[in-house]
Amino acid sequence: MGRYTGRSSRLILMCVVSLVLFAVEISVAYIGNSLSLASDAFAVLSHLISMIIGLFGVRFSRVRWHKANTFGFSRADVLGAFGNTVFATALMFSIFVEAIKRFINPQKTEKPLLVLIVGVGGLIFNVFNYIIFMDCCYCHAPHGDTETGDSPNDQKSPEEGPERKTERKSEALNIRGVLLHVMGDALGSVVVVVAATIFHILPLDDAPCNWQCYIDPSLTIIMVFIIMSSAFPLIKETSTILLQMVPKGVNMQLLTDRLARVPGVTSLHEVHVWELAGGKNIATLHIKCQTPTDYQDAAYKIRKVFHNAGIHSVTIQPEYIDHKTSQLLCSSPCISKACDSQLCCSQRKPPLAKTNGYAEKNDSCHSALHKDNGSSKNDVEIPIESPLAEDSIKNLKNCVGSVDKSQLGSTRL
Amino acid sequence: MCGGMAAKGTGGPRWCQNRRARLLCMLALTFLFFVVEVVVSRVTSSLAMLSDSFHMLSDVMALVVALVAVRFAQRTRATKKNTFGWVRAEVMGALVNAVFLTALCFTILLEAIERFTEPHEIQQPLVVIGVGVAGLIINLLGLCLFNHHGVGGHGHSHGHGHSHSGRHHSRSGPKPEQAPGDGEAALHREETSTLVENCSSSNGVSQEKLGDMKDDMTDLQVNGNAGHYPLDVEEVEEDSSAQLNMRGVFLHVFGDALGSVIVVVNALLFYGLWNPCPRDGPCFNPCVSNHCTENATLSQTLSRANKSEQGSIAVAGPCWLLYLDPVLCLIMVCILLYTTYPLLRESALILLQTVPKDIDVHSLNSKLRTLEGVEAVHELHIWQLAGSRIIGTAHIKCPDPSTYMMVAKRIKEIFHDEGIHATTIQPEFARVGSESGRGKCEFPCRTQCALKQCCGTGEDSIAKKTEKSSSLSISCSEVVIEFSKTRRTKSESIPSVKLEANIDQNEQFESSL
Repeated sequence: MGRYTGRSSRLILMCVVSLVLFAVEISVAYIGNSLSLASDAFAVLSHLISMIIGLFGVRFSRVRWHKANTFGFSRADVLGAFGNTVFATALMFSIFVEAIKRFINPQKTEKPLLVLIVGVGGLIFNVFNYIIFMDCCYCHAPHGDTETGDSPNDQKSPEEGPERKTERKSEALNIRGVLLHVMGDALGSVVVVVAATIFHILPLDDAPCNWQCYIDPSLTIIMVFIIMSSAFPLIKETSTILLQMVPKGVNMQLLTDRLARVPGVTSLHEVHVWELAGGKNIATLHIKCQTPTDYQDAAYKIRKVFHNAGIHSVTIQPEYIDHKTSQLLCSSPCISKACDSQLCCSQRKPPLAKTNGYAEKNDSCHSALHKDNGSSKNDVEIPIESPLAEDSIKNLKNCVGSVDKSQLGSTRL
Repeated sequence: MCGGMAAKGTGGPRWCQNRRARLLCMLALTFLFFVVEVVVSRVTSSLAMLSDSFHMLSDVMALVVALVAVRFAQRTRATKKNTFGWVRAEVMGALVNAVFLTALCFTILLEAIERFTEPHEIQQPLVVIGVGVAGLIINLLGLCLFNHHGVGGHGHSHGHGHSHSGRHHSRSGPKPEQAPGDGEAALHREETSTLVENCSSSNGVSQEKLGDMKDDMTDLQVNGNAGHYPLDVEEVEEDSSAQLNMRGVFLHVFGDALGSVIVVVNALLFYGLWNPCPRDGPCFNPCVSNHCTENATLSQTLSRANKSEQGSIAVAGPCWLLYLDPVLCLIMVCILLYTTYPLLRESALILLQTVPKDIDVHSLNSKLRTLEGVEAVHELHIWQLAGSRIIGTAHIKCPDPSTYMMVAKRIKEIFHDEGIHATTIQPEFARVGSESGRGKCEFPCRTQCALKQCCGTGEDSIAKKTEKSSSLSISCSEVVIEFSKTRRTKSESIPSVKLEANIDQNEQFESSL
């Protein structure tokens, strides 16, 4: 395909067309003193805003590294889609309110012919818009997309296909946000055309409002519901990414089980899995091992487990066993306990730990936790037979606690 | 008012300091007022009041969003669906509110333009004044409630945050059984006790108890060292993510207050200055744009009137009054947009995983590199989860495990000094004889996974700048900005990638982007 068929080119084209249309409509509305044209012009303007948001998303997400953002701005797409959806929802809300007002205070459509023409014009514009953007959701760019600078690997292994598809996912999210607006507009135009046609065919010159006046608001309400029903899944998808939730295809329970079974790993904690954008999953975890060689062996296997789960960027922090520390407690949180509230997960809160039936000594309340097989799988304890003493770990001063206070009350995250 | 009290500390009723209580209170008031306005508008059949009431409804929605966000964000514990807990919900709530407010401004703009083309007179200005004043009072109350979080959202990123403390004191929770003696130790830097024992309330089954738990902890510490830790620091301002959320609500209420002010001012001026058309007799209204047919009738009426009576024709009052409303609306929209933009920006930046403003990644990188024992640093990522929780990850390359042990603490200290307290440091040990691979990631995923790795980032380009390393340091974090460059480096990298195959993990291929 040519240079100009990329996403941002299309967006720019549609932005320009919308701007022109807006200018034309608003001037005609002023000259002809027509209210409906003015509101249609503003619909086009909102369209324009949504496309600008989409454009920002696309442009930004091309940047791979920036001193303000170590991850690059690939999330901009997702954020753009979210912003667009919320914007569309808010507009739908105000349209809904207008429709309610029309129900209470029905009005006739004046000059149905003019309105009909404008409505048809708007409909054509929206269909045009939709066609231009539509294939973005379902296309596979032939050999990399010059827009985003992604390069497919030359070794086309069978894993490539699905990977590229998932990458399209985040870009598609952005375009879906824009398309939501387009759809809203298109349906609005349909409603306008239908109402205007009815008034044209059955004119109501001076008679009071009859059933005809209620067509417009009722169709509008139906339209609002249709659009909300397609906005909602989009909001869910984008929120999953933005809230740092575990990505959909990953089962945390299963994952931590498998990780716990890797030989050399005594226990795990602080397991975090999240999606950056477009199928790129990131994980971090802390493991406790006996020796450095244990760690290096385990590291490879751990990565394999993650790889099979679809998570390819993993950072593993090894910690070595310290008798004074609980098995489940992080040996090296920040350097002082005072930082606790600024940790991503507080060390003091009791984790809902799955402990595999292992109970620490002098821990009466620990058994209470066994019953809780609820949510968090962040801490997994693996029973060990003989704890070995480690010299090297003594250097890690920050886990040294006051020895007399080491009655390990209960497990902590 | 309670806003001031909360800032000062212990005084004031507890409910005042509670975010949720404030939100609920405002929600109830606003909803009540909405209902009242709808009823009044039906009674007086005033359309303007109906539209104003729907503005109140949008306020209600903003409050609901903020409330939901606050509820979510209190679950800071990790769950199956979200390993970080839901702390980010408040940032999302702030963003939703900001976008919502922008959309609202847009519709107000539309209405104002509508009024320009077809100006209306205000019917029954007295009623409008009454309702407007009532609305204004409610909004001012709301402003007062949320003022504490108002403009300028200053978060305290490095505070020794026992941040969520004061608010939950009112909720009853199980008191810890042990003596709070170890609270002291927890606050001193290097003597860290491993954990604060709290056996009894560790069931942690329900989410709500969590808040209580945490407060009991802080209670613990407060009791333990009243001398060391002044009380008002305990009840200090909330985390900055909560502030963001509250700012969103504040801006909504502020917008509404401005709207009420405009309504009241307009109605007052109208009441004072407008000469309405008297009910009887012909009246000429020059301000309303008439259709041609109406003008014809009017001129006929006028001419007939002129001929028949020598009476005066009433002329409806000064026209500029009719345009006052839209003009004020436009000014209000500008003010709102101007104040919403910073909130939008801040929440968007957090959600985009940017490095927080006060941290300089380059200098952090160089500080880490200059530590002795550290050969290379890559995959350095810093991002803000919400509020003051900043998370960092890095891969540190060291010659051998014992060297790593020596520098590990120092590394954590460096991060701590920057305010990054939740870090995951992955040590990597260089293979013998692979000098060429100084910057390489020892544990990349397989080559095919390149596209799915989090980043093709530029740490190595920085490495090249600062260290001028001559090695072909091509790691899994290669800069990818241009398509063509990528291809070139990829072909170059293949030969240098081979790692020694003495350990299993080296069977992995280098990933290169």
